[in-house]
Amino acid sequence: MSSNGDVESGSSVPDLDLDIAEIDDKDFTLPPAEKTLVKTNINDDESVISEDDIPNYLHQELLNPGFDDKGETGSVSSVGSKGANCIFTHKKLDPLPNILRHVVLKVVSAHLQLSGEGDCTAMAVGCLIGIGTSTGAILCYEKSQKHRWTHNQPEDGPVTAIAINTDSTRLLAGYALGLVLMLDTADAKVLRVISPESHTLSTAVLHVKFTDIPSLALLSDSGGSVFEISLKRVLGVRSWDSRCIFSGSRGEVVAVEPLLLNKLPTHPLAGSLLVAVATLSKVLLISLRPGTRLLFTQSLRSVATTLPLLSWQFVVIQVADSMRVMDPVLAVARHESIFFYQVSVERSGRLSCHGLHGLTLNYSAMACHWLSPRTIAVLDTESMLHLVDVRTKAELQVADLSGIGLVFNSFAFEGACTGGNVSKAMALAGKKACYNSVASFGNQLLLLEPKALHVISIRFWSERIDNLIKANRFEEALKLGMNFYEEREKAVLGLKGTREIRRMQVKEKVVDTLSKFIDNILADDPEINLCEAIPLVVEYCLDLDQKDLIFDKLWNGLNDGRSLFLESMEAAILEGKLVQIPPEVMQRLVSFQQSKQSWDILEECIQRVEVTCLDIEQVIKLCKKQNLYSALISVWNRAMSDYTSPIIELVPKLKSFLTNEGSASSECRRLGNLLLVYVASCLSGSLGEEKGERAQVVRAMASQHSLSAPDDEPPFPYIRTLLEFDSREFLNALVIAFSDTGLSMTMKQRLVDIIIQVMTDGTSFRCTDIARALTTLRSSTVGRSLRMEASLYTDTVSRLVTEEEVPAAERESALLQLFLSGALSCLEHDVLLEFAKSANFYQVCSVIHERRGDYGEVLKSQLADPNRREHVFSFFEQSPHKHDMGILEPENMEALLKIDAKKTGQLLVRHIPESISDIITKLSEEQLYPFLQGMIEESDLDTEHMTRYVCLMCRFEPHKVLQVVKSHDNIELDPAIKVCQERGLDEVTAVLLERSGDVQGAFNVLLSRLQTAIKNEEKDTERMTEELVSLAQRGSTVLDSKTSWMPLLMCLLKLNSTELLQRVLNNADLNLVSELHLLMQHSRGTLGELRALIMGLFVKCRHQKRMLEATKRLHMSGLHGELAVALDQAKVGCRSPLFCHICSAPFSSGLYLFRCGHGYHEECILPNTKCIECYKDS
Amino acid sequence: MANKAGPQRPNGTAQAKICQFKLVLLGESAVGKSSLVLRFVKGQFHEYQESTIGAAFLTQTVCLDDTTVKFEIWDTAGQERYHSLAPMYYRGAQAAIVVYDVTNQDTFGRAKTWVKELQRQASPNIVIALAGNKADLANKRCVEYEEAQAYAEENGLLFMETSAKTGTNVNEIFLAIAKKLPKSETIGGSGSGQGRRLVESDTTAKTSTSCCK
Repeated sequence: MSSNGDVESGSSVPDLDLDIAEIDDKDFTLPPAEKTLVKTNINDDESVISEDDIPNYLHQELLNPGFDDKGETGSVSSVGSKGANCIFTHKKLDPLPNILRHVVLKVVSAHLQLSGEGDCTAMAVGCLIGIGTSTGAILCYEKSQKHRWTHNQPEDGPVTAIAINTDSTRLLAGYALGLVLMLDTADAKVLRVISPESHTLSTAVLHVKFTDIPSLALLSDSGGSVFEISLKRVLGVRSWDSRCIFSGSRGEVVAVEPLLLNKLPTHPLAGSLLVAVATLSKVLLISLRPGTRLLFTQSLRSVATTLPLLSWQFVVIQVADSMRVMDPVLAVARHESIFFYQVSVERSGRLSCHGLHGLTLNYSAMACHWLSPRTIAVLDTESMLHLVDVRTKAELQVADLSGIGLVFNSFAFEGACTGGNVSKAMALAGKKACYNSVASFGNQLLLLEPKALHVISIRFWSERIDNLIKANRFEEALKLGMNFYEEREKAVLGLKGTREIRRMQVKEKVVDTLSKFIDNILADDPEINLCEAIPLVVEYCLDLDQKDLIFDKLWNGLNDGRSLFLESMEAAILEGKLVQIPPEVMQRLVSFQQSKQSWDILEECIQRVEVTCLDIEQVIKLCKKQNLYSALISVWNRAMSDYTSPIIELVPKLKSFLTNEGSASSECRRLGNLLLVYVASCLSGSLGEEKGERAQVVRAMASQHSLSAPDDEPPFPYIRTLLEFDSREFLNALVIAFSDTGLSMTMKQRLVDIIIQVMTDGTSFRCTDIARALTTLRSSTVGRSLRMEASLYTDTVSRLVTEEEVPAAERESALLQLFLSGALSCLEHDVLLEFAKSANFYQVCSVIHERRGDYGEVLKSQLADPNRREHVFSFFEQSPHKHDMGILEPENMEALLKIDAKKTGQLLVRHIPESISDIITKLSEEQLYPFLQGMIEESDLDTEHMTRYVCLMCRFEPHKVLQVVKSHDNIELDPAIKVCQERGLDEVTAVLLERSGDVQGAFNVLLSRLQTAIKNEEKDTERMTEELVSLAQRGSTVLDSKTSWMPLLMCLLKLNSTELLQRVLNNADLNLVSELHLLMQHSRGTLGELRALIMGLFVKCRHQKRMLEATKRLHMSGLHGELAVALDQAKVGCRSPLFCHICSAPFSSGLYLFRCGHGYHEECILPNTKCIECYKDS
Repeated sequence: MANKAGPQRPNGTAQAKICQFKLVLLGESAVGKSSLVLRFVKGQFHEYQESTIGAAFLTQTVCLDDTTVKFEIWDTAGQERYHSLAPMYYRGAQAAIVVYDVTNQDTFGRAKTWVKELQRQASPNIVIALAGNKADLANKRCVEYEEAQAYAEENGLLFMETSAKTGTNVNEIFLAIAKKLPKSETIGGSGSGQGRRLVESDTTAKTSTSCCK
């Protein structure tokens, strides 16, 4: 190793042919790396575009230059780089970021070390690599890393920029002293010497760029200007011409990036030449061909030490309605943000440019390049390379490149060779410029060190898998493979063709990986965790339909992991992924689950797998033992087409449950319900299509006795048991099955006959059960066609009526249902009525009466029924036969009133208002009050009834009277007042008196009440006073102040409440002087008593005086204001017009001039006195 | 990375290949199908063997020269009610043993019907063997050896009289079948190899290039 010498220092290495693979990490001072075999792959151009979409656009020649399709890194391998270094380290269990591959181009680097041409300063990549150095030399390497030639030009300073054209035949090199050379890449012949005069004098060349037009190149210099250089050839003599297209005086350009379309000759943009240009504050998009035009500009201010970065990429963009366009997208990065601008051609042919969603980074970008249409690589100022998925904004990988001593172009930006004649801003920003030392080429990123060249590229998909396999990380390799397969992975490289072909490729790879992994598992690799590995392998094998791998290879080879394997099988079966499984495995799975006692899962599994996979004997024995009924039924049905065993074997089991544990036990319910569902689905034909099994099941159910029956077994044990279990649900299940016409009528009849026979013989079924059964059967679709004996119904009805041990309500409802189902049509209504009455089944009676149209009887039975009596009103309300019910019959009315007089009132108002007056006369006062209440809730009462109501209310609910009286006007006053006075309802009386016009009377009543209240020191005197005051105000015109205000004031004085007093004084427009006199006369004359009153009067007087003064003041100031305005106007001068506004003749002597500036002759204006022009309209 | 299979693994390194065959037993009830299988697989015999429900599944591996033959045996139930089940099993089978009871002429007749059904319905390449069981009960014999032998020859069947009780001819009949089954040919000439899988057990040996762990 030491013989290689210190590569970093560039000391001599004896022989070029030495095995460069041995150059160690340490020699490059690189982070510790894992050694992997890597081939460099410089020329798979087509990854510039999404690989799916290339063929439409891509020129054939560019499609496959040295790149074969087998998913290998099949391009020219770098000489002697068998063991090149992979820089990214990874430890076990860390997620392995294996998307990016880092390679040192060993041959090139070694040659750079040896050449002695100074440090590298600039680089360009095409099918060749061109590198410029600080001594002005240009080195050209082929893609195989072979050195082609070196050109020396020492007198023009270091090389600052290099460009290679798209077919790699020409090379442009710019120098720090401003010279630009064009070389033939074949033999380094200088074709053109473009002197520094082509651009701003004594400036360094920052960028040279080829464009799509072979005769046009671009150049930008440290003066910040951009020039287009036309490369002419006249009569075989090569010459050039330059034109400034952007002057540095308008903002210094630091980045230039032309859009290259050469790969897409059919693109609608073909023929135009777009250049993205960035200054330190702006990004511009300029079209140079067909005409020079500024397309777009955007401000781009950011930290002064950062440079704008430009990168073009063609991206397939989904437009609405499944149209896809491939548009160039410009990525503009500066500091912590990246913006994307899409350039598209509109229908009119116009170019438009609009922004897309941008990205915000948490690092400062130093270089930014597209690596694929979806991924962009950003190198930050900390030398970390970030691979970002543009669509999801996810950071796919971060690589630490701090080991690379990147070349910076600061030399040119600082104008070091031209005396530093650059702006401060440019020099500052250019400190970390790496425009010419970081280049992207397809999916690769090249980084230039002073003496070495690094390539970072996206790995091929298969390589990524292989990489993981090599690291013995099969689980991750498989996951990654499945991600490729399911198209979930990002930055996928190397997968081409249609979707099916791509999937096939991936599948092959994953299956291969699986196979290898299984080999490792079987080899008892101690690093493999079986708990994770086996489920994973099983899952993926099933997903990829590789059952051979798991069953033949894995299962047969496994020793310890078998239970894990079986658990994975279990999961797969439950998920429905696996229905066919070798019987051997299934047998073991059943035993395994048996040992775990996970019966539910076992049952589920048995039902899900194909029946040919089952060891039937094993399964059936186990299911019988563990009562796994569903699984049993499933196996019977599917394997043996045996539909009767569930009945013959399971119904007796149900019977034993019923006798031993009762129908409520959970086990019994489970089995019973299962059987009911089974019977229903069998009979309705939903289990199987063949005709046999339905008849089989019916025959089995209808069998007179079970197998090996004891002598005392009652007949029809199966149906009997099912009925005993739950007669209602059994019958419902039957009825569902009956609706299917496939079941013959005779079978139905047979089943029904048996059911009736089982239910009616003996006493095990209650009369209500029988009735319900008959109802259910009758209501079924075939109910009418079933033959039933009439005596059956008679017997049932008579049992319903007489069997006392069943609650009457149940019996009644059963009878009712039976009647409503129409089953009792064979019985006479009279007979039924007789039965119903005998058992007091009023509801049944009323239904029968209703059927007969005997509505009077309906009402009577309703009233007679103690349970439904309360509901008579709503019943009546809903009945369409209200008038036939004879509700007005005295006894009915009496009953109704007894139930609820109020509702009776409502009812009558609503439906039979004409009868009210008759009825009211017959009512007692106690009945009348709620009756009227009901009426008033429905509608307004007439005066007579209202008065009556108020009077009654005074008696029954006196506290509500006031409210009612206030809200109703139609009350006869005299009788009401009388009653109120009798009852002592003063307030009501007062209201009524006031209404009758006797305000004084009302006042007196209230006053006396207030006086009593004051005397008794009651609390609500204030409210009373207020009432009184407002009454007095209302009636001030009628009231004699002597008899009203006086006593009131006296009262208030007694109360000593100045507040109330004040209010009285404020409100009343009284002649206070006279009042005071009166007051003095009526009181005992001591001033002390009247002190408050007098003080109040003074306050009021003062207040009024103040009001008067204020009014006066306001009035005066108004007048003064008007006068001032008039005076001001009079002072303003006025220009006299030359001509009369009417006759347009000049003025000779006098004129009439108005303030508006219009003037008239005297004879023209008179007799008007206003300006005619201004008052035209009036 | 060593990939040597342990000696405990049955299909490890010794044999070159494993052939897997599906075999079905058919015959009237109580002729001794289950006993025959039990004798072959476990070397046991129960005087009162319960009647099979539906079908039972067993496997047994026999070595034959350089081949390991793995039998997947479906022991079907003889009772009439399970007859509908039989086609499910003989349809994909490479071999069938039709069993009758030498002490019961009816079972021999029934065996003939089975043979006919197999010739009609099963795969054309199926290897059929006729087994006259309960040969130990010589004094109760009803079906003569010659009669059965003649029938077997006529129909191209393997034939042996067996006794599950004593073990006579039990392994022999299975071995005879194993010998007759095609082993060299690769999977399924005419779709008949549905249930058969050829497992190359030497794939593991190939990959193990390095031996050091």
